[in-house]
Amino acid sequence: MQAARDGDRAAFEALVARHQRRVYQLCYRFVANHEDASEMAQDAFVRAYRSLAAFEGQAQFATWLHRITVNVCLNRLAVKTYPQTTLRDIEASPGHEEPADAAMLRGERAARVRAAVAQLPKKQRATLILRVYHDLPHEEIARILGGSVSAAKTNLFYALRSLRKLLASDD
Amino acid sequence: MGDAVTHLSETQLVEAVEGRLEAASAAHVAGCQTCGTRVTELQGVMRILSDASVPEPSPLFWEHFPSRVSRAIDAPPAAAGWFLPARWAWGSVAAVTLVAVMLLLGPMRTAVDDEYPVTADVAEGLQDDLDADEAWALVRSVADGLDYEDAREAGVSPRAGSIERIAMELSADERAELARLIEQELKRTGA
Repeated sequence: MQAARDGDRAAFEALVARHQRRVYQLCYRFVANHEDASEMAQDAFVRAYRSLAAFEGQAQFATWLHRITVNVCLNRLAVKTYPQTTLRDIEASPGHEEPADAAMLRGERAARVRAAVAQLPKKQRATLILRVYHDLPHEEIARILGGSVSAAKTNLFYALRSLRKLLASDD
Repeated sequence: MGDAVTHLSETQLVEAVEGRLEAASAAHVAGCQTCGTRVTELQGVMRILSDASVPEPSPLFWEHFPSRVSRAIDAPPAAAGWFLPARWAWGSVAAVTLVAVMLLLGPMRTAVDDEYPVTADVAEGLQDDLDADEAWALVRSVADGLDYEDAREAGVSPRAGSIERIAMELSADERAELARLIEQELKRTGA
């Protein structure tokens, strides 16, 4: 970490390699496609590199990187409109056939859930992703998104409630 | 007149789903069909979510990703996007943004904030409004392009979520006015 802060590029690349999967997965949850997720993950690491001097080491590097990544995701969603992939789009997509086995069925179900998550309002989406998929405590989510712990829990409630409706309406 | 039943709040329902509900509320859930059903439904959604993994990119993607980041770090600033103003202009834009926000928020920041706290429902509505607000999208795009050093030079100390917090305190008209001021400054600086 110190070497990376001192400008050692190889040390920074090692940090990237260690955290790339979690950062990419976080971005993917927001946009549900590889191309944008990989661009956003790259952007998050570039920003982290340029802000390394400001990293005081009091928070864990992973938490700090999470904050940067979430901000990149929220900012990107604010300036770019992503086509919403609905659950019906998935069913109508070329190559979509009746699942032949359990693995395909699981894959299709996962795609439907990811599409539903991507339809949530930004704040609800961020809260749900950080809590459910990255296991961050509500207190940390509140710090990252800027709000109270109570608001973080309320956002999660509304996200779950909306998802329930979205998933039920497409069944 | 019968006793009014107090069901679990949104935050308590989340605590119940996560198994962190305090004893008294847990006892209520055990005896209340309405709350029991709500908790079961939300737990069902959580189970569905936990099964939805992210597709794994190819091993080659991971292998090359660190060097791809390195190349992006070394890339000239122009690669960041045609719509971003020159670096020197950001300090000026940031300063205008800061002053505009202070002017707009100044008269509003009184004890009223404490007297009338924003409820969760209202906050959710405001967030949805922001998502659809084109004027605010411009402000966000400016904040997105503003890097740490430029902001510091302009006397701004950005914190995670601060843009969202500011937005929550501005009306749609005030956000439009802020966007107009920023656009004006971008034109003035030739950015």
